[in-house]
Amino acid sequence: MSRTTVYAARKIITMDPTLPEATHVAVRDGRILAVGGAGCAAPWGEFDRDDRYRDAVLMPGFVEGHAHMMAGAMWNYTYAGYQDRIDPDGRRWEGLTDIAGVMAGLKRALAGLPAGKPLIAWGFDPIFLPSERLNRRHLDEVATDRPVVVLHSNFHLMTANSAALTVAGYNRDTNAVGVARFEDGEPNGELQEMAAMFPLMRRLGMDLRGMARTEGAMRSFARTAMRVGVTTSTDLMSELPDEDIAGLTAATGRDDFPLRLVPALAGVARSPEAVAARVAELRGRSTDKLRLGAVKLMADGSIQGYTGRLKWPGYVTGHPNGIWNTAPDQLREQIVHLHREGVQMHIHVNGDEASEAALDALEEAQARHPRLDHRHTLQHCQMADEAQFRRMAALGACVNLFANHIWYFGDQHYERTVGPERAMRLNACASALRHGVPLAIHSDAPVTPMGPLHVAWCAANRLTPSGRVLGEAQRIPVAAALHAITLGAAYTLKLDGEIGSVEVGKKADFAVLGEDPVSVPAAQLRDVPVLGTIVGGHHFPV
Amino acid sequence: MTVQPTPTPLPPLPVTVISGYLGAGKTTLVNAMLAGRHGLRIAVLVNDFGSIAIDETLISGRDADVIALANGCMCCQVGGVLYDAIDRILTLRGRFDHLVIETSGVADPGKIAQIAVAEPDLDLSRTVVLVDAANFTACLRDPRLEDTLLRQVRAADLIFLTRTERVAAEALAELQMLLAAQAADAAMAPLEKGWADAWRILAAGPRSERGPAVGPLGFHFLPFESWSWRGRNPVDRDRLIGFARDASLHAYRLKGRLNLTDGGSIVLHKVGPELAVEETGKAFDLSELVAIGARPEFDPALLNAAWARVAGTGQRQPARPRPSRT
Repeated sequence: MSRTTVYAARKIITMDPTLPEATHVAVRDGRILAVGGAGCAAPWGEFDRDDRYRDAVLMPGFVEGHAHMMAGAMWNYTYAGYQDRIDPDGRRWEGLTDIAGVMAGLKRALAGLPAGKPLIAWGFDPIFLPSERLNRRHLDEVATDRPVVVLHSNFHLMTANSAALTVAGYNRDTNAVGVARFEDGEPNGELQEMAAMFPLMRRLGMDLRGMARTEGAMRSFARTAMRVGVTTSTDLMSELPDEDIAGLTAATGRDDFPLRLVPALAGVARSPEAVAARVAELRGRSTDKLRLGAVKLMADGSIQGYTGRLKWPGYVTGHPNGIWNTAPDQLREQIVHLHREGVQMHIHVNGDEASEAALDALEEAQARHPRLDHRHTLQHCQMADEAQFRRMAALGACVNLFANHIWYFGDQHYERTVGPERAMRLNACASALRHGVPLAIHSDAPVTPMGPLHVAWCAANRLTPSGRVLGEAQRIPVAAALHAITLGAAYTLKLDGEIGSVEVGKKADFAVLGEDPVSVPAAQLRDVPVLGTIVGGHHFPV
Repeated sequence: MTVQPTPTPLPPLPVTVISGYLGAGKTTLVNAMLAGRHGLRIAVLVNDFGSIAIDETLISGRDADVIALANGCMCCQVGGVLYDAIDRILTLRGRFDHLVIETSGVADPGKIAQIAVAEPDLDLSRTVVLVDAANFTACLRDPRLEDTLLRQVRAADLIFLTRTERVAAEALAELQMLLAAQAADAAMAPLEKGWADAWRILAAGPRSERGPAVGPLGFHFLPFESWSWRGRNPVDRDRLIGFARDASLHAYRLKGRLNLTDGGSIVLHKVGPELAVEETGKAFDLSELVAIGARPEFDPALLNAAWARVAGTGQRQPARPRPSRT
């Protein structure tokens, strides 16, 4: 017979309303057998006692409802961001806070590279370095004998040194719009948008999406998740060809793989019939730690990139309205068809015109093919107003808000994208709760670093780096924020019966914390240390 | 990972971007190109195979994302990311004479064309935008679509008008005027029956060697030309009316909204000899005027000269506009 282990903890926050707090949990066969006090396992026969978490606080393993596997692959390159960031092996990369710092960081990385190998860095964000703009000359000081490329954090820009520009064939005669120039007409090294970045990326073999499909990237992603207490994460948009399914099944099947994965099939640029047929094939291939069957749709772009589709009055800067990734009519066709087929959809909508288009489509889908408990989830949905939340509630939609944006881009939104009023209601968690819309909150890693406690901190405090409170009325209580990163997110994945709370019969998935997140002041929620995770009864200390 | 050498003895692969909103006829055009007896080995990138209808007897091979044709053409489904698909085509560079990229219905063809401008192994040939003459103006009234559709038209250097047979001549001229105002340099042609010959646009050669004349391609290009003006200074009412009535300018259609020196603000319409002027009672931020007419009688240079007498500084101009001949 399988053995039973009883773990003692300083406190267990269960997210189960019947028994909100406990001190002991019994685990058998990777599942929760009993919860309560020291004797909770007594009815189940013999057990071992394990006190390794005696001083820790256990929570249900965190659920990241919107992230991308690419977050793991990026660590193949050198980190050059402004904020400190922890890599999958636990190493802290100090933020590089001025251009001299960036150059010094690149030189350090160069020392570890074989001769001739290009130096590629990522995560750079010129917003935080308001002095001089990084250019080719700075990077030529790092190296002239090989390409040096710095990818910006938004993935829409890069800065390259002269050797890299030569590789791409760029010079003063190049006509491409995205090849930025010095006043004398020479390329200054900044390459804007994918069209201008592509020639260099091809030639340097920078295949970010391909990298994300390797087992190494999967493991990096899983370790990144583990370090922030995440035991289940989405990979929210994947092509999922058969060979990838095989790779994912093998990787997640290992006991030492510390993550349950929920990839969503890309539903864009394919007919809804083809998508529904592929989903039907994929569903049967789910395993314990790999869950298939959801679909991702894309309506618009991003707000900070001015590609989100906004309703009137648009961008406060006067930028033209953003782009549709899918025409509203096509989105409606996809949504109505997939809804009829019972396929759960995660719909990327950043601007309020995009969320409106998705709601219009859901309304038509519900009118034509009424369906309860579909759990279609509006992803990001950053600009939704009260009326849109009311519609979500009426249509049975869930929302996964991008609360991390409040910290990472909040000042920018206030000053340079949507202006004060709409910035105050950006990612309006309190409105979602007020209208009874099931709520999750997310990081969209690698766009912002994965870290559910940080996301929850954002939702509870709504602070920006300049010290602004971005809409005090939209703050939510810490308990509600913790719900959104556990059971709330699990609900949007239709996994709330298996994960998201500490209840008998559920997976033995836990976040192991060094402090009690409900006892520390809300302002310190993001500082609560994560000591590791437990996934299906297997232990993964940080 | 090391720097991959890129020995490309071959000339850059010419690229034609085919764009247009849903239902404009992109797929029909692509099908016609793939099946044409033109001797060109064309690689076509499409979003979705679903609508590709190729005679089975022409197909020499197929897998999940590629259909290979006996005539040397190949059709690839992009599926995920366009750049990956282009990269794959470039690894097979020697097998093709031309790359055709069919965009999604809401893509900005200007941005996609930039790939061919930036990539040294590619050479932008044309940006073709298809416009469904029967539906375009209705789509423009959708505020969610208007900017996307106009962005497409502005990126065009060749506009194919489809389903023109469903549109009255008057409405078609209106549409051409609207399009010409957005894309003054683009050639325009109706494509009712010309699908089978549409591949000829691929033989146009690189953009750098191409003049405005596209006649030799075998299409009946519309002779319409446009002229437009925008400015902040108010203009003289009498001179403006004189300009609008000047038959020697051969403006078939004229449309504008302008602030006047007498303090009025008007919307002005002219179709043929009919001139309508409407007082708005409210000033515009910007005055603008667009004219369209048929070459060669309609000559933008003549309009420029005439307009200089209306809106110029005034000192070098005759006090009165030329007498109208109408």
